[in-house]
Amino acid sequence: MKVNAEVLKKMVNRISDSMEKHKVILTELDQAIGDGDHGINMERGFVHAVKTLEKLETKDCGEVVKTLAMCLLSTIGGAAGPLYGTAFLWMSQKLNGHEIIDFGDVDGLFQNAIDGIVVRGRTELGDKTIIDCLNPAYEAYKKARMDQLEPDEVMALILKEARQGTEATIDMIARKGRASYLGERSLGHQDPGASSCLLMIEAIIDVLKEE
Amino acid sequence: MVGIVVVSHSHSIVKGILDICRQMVGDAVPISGVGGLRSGELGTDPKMVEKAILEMDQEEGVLIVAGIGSAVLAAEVAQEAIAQQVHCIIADTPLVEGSLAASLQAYVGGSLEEVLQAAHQAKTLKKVGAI
Repeated sequence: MKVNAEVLKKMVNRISDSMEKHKVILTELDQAIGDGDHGINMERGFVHAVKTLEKLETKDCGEVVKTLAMCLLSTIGGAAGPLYGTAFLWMSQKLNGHEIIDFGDVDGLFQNAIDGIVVRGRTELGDKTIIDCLNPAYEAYKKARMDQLEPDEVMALILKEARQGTEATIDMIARKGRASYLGERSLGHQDPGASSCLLMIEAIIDVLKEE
Repeated sequence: MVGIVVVSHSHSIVKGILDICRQMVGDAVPISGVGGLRSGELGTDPKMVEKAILEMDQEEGVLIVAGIGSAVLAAEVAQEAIAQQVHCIIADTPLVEGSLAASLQAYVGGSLEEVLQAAHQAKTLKKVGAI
């Protein structure tokens, strides 16, 4: 498994396809507890990123991820722009000058992504946000590494925990974003941010399995 | 003079607030706003906020007054991006009241810190009931 700039671009393409495919469901989730534009916003951001990355000639993984971050920041329009934008921007700092991302880099990437979102969103686990998908995924990764599992098993465990974490947002009361104005009425709905984060993790792992 | 940038999801909101502020201070205060996306849809674009801050800066700093949710996040991203160039602070205040209070303070020649204080005081402004 070798991840270089080309594979990263493939991941962005795959995420973009997934956002397009799930645009309606993400938007419906957001209509239930938010302002109802998450699916449209995410699709717009990633479609723009795919187009921009097609023209970007570089072997530097940091530059690819930084370009993705800037695209999302300037085109998403909702809170997901600054949140995912900051996450990818901070991830890119771990990758500057890297032509290859290896398994050992993943820890720092997870950590920076989580830090970026926590700092930007002033959020913590259980607030019904992206973090409720991302943090369990990171914990699963750390545990799998500690148990010295094979890459396939690591990815399976990350997926399982990310899915469970996302589903668990159904029983949470939103404490951040537009949904927090709803208080207890936000119960019973899966968080759109955690849902789009899960789609990203699924798309990334999908590509990794092919490499 | 201290510059002011108003940020909201909505172009109409920003336009209305700028109208109210300019009615009081005319064109004397460098005040501008970012509302909605380039396409006209509701939303916030950190790059547009960044541009507005740079345009409003007269080397005495810029105060940002932001609306809800991603307006604040977009303002923070913009603020960080140009931290080396412009001294820029985000006010913790309601959009309409804070923007107007800040404009008036900037108009009478306050420093960035004084303009920020005026915006913050607007938060406790009592509208109904016993004063």
